[in-house]
Amino acid sequence: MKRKSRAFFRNPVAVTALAILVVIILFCILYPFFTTIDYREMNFEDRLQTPSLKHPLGTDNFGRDLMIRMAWGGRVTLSVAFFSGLIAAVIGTVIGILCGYAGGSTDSVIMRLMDVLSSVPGLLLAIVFEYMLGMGRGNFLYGIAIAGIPPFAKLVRAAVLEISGSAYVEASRALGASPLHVIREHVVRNALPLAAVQATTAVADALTTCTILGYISISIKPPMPEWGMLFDNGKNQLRILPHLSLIPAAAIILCIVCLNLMGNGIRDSLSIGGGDA
Amino acid sequence: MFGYFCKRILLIIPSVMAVILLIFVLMSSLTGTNTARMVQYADDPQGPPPRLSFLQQYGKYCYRVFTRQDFGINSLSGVPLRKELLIRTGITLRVTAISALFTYLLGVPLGVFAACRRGRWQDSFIISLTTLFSSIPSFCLSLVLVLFFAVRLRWIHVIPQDPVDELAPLFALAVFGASNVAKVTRAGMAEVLDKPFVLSLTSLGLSRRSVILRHALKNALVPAFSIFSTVCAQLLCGSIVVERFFNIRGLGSTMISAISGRGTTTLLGCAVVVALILSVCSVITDLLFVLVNPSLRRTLSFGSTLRRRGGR
Repeated sequence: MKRKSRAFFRNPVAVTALAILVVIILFCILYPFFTTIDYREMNFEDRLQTPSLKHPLGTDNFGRDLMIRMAWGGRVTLSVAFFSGLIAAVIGTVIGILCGYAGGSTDSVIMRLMDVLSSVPGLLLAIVFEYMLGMGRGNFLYGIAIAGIPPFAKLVRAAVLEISGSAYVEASRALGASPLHVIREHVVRNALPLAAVQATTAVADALTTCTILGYISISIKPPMPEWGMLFDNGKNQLRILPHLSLIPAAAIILCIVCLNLMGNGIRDSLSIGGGDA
Repeated sequence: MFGYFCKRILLIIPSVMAVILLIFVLMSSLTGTNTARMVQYADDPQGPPPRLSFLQQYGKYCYRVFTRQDFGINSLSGVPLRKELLIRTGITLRVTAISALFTYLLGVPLGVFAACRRGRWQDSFIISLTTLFSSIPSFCLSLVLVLFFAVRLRWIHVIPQDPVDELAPLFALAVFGASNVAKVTRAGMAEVLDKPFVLSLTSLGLSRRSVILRHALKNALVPAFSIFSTVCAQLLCGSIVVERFFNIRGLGSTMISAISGRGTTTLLGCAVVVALILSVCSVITDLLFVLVNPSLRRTLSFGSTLRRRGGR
């Protein structure tokens, strides 16, 4: 494990991506503490301003400061992305381990269920969840999370099947190891790095879905910003102030690119440092 | 093989039914309320006759969808959904199909080119390009396209008017899929080029071009076509967004207006249409697979015996 993480940190691209992500997250968390401007504060004298000292990213058509709205929007967007990715990862990994280890009818029933689930696009599932549980409360998170489960389950299940057929697992079983011990010591440890790679993809996908929902204005309640929503807001001022939607777009793209690069970095470090997990 | 595809096409029905069941279960379990009026039909606008259980409702819906293409009525306008869905689906399907074509026309040559220049700067350039473009959501790309071509260069209109304007949404959709296709094609091609038969063909004196285009490409296309249904799903989801950006009145705009107007029947209808399109796409994927992979064709024509042997 140590060698793998060292391989990851020696990869300049992956480390840069991680650093950029950390900077963005820190900005979103900390910036609201360092400014007196409120994200809901409308100021009609200051509407549609270009960047200035008072408003570092300018203001929107209601005179709201874009910088603070980006920070709050980032809090919403990124937390939805990370938590739905996390939920999907945990549930998917557990299901994958159970299926791979149990086998038989449990396995085939759950896997058919996963097939049905993966044939429905995540966006559609998120829309259904948001629609049924009430609009504007961020319930689409569960939809995104559930849509993210099948790839995890399939990946982890395949890994488990491969591992549990290997000689050393058989040996440890012959030495009297309980199923729980085998799962904890061998299966989880081997499946976890694979799940980590998939997790970066899942978080990136969740981020895309989240911003799409914000863009088609069915995510959270309006005074609270969200990157996709900010993008949609700025679109009306495309001709005069394109930066109002370019900045949210850039933030979205930057985050997704960094997540994907990080995923690539983890995958590469697995093949470099392999063997000692 | 013909039998196999008949079976495959018939299997669309249960798979769509499974998706409908999933959405029914989600809808009824999430709200927790009585879902007796989940779907509104033209012949009973006051809701279904009393005391239809969940399964009866589900059965009724599936029966009506598959035998009469009756998706219920639009609860806002009171008009049967069938005609509206047909028109809107047509528009979305056209956008999706053309962009799927663009996706492959753009992605496959790029992937092949990158694989042929493996390890050189062209390869790494294309790899970084595909990594970048597969990360850009289609609405962000639409913005960049509109800013550049409509606002700066004034080649196209922001709201489509001329045939040229329709290229922008298609391109915005296709680029995302194309980068995935290019990635997969590159990997497939790189693998094929390492195979011994490529070496032997080259040593027989065939030109590099004919080795790649005639012999290697056919093998490299297998992975590219295997992601066809995934690409279609992405394009379909992307078209919901791009339609809104470019004010195209397709399935996506129906869905969005259904959500804001609380039209459960309409939303359900849209979801069923999407599920139907995606299952048809997966059948097309299988068909493409067989077209590019002759060994599979042989397997399918002796299907029963070989599959039994493979199952052991």
